[in-house]
Amino acid sequence: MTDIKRRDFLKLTGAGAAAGTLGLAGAALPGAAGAARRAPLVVLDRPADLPRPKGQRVVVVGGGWSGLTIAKYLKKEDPKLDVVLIERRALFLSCPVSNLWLADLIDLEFIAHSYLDAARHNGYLFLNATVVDVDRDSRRVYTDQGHLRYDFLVLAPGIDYDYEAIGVTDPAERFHLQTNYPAGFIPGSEHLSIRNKLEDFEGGTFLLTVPSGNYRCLPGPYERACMVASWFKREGIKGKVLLLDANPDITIKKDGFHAAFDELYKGIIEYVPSFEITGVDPYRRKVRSEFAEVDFDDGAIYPRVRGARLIEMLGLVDPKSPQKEARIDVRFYNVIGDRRVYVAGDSRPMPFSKSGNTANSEGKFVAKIVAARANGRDVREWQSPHTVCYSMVNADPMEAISVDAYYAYNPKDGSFRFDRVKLFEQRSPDRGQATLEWARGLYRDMFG
Amino acid sequence: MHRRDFLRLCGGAVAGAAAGPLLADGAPFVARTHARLVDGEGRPLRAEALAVDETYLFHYPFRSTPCFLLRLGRPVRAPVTLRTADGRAYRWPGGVGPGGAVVAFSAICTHLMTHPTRQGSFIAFHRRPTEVAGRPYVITCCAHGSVFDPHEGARVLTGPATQPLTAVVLEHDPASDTLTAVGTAGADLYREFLRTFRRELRAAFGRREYRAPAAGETRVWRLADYARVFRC
Repeated sequence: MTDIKRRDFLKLTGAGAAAGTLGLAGAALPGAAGAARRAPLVVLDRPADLPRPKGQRVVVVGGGWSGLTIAKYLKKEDPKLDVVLIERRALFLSCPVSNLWLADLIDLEFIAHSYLDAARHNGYLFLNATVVDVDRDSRRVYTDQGHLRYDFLVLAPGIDYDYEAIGVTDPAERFHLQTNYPAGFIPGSEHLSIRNKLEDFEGGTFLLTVPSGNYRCLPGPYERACMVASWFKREGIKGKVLLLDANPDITIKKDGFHAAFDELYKGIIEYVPSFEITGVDPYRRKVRSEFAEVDFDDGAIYPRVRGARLIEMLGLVDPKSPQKEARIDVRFYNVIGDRRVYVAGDSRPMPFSKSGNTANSEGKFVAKIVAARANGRDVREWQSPHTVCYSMVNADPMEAISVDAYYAYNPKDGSFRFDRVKLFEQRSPDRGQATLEWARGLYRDMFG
Repeated sequence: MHRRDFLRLCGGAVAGAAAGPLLADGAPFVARTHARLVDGEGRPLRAEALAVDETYLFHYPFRSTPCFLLRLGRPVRAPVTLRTADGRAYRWPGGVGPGGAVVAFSAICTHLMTHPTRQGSFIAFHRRPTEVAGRPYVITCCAHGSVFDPHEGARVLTGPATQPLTAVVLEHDPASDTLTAVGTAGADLYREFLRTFRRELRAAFGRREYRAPAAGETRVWRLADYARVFRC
């Protein structure tokens, strides 16, 4: 697909529909040798091998916390809906609480879950595939496993990283950076690599960074600093965690984190606020800001985040969004002018926290909206997402801090603000245990 | 309150039926096997012996499904009409025994089924204000922040739960001052609970016993003796 523009592709598939599958497979593509292009198009132009829909079909793209919740609750709201969850990964790995795994506080089994279990327990179909395009006119989703029709489509593809925003524009540099110093906020190999790095680390400066903007998991980088530092303590590693923060101070639960840095990790965590990265030399292991350049020995570099590229590819980005997030009705999630297509989870433009509990609570509301509209009704009252976010700050004993918050909508200017915020910044072992039960509960919700 | 009174309050349908939904309008009261509440020595528990505002635990309506037993020191506001998440109304008639202050509710949080185990309990009745609840004398689930008021049928005060804790219907015999669980009212999460926690429940209660009805007698514990109670 790399050389084919989206419009060309749609034109071709449209032609394919008229001319039949074989005709399309043999179609000549501009500037391309036919044989090299035939194979993907043959795949793309046949229906995905799915059972015939038994009711209105809702396709959910993305099997993260948002998509999993939406798929399940669509079936709860209306068992007659035919729900298909499309996810490109074959195994779910949780980003929330993954920092605990980095510090060896929980097993990998705690954060790894089966999409098949989620589907069989909740009565929907799981299609392990990658979405490559959507034709909203014919209401068709194209994947590397074939295409499928939808009555309603929910896109929850999460985030991608914006390396350009930290001055890394050269693809070779970016790949070197991504491969050797992965951010660790899109779960999978990134997390396993960071854990391996910690296991192998013998001393020196371990770099962690905090981006600006509404990045995924606001407290995540600070919690990770605590967990890496606790690992150094436990293993007797003579190392320093250098935490470079693009923001002027810790972005959330700052008193609790500052207390942990000062009381538990003095001399191990070096916290540097207002360090906006403007360039990285991944070969010589240097990061730059406008004012300084620092060296590191190993680390995980978290660039800025943006809405998933899929949103951009589908032409759904809000041109005013600095993070390339979707242009949708900010209360009811549908693409402006198209009540059959929705964007939820971390590609949404609302300033809600990009975190697991938030996506889960929001997913239940999105399912309610879509199920209502599928039945000719509507939901008129906006429902706030609910952010519940624990951060483990001590490993021995496990101690955590947390926040519990909702949001309020201002109809005058369409803005949102935090509401009913409860901060629990005094770390405690009970809250450490509650962190685990919080996660277990959410996994039960998505997979049980 | 006697069972008959309770049934009358709930609508009075199908007097004498032993199982199944009792109310003609589908209100979610389920009569279940009877289980007399007994102490650690197997002696019938006297309601008068319950400490005020102490949290007790027993298992009902299955041998592995935990419930809270409370003798409340503050007035019970009853009867109240409550609703399950799917919108079905039911009436909580209030407490039984001395002063009508003895109440029982499932200890399985209706949000994501957090419940007491021997390893610990994140859900409990607290006499002192917890940070999450911000007020005393309520049942708080620390894991996800739901707060329930046992004085009003365990209705949701705050948090993500969308339905009250399931009420356990007790009969009190004034002559012997004993308590017997006879049914439940409200949300029915038991099937989902037994399926979800099958592995843990088998290990804790036995391969088949975990899903056997609590019949005959069921032991009452002080929650603090049964599990470490986490505060939040």
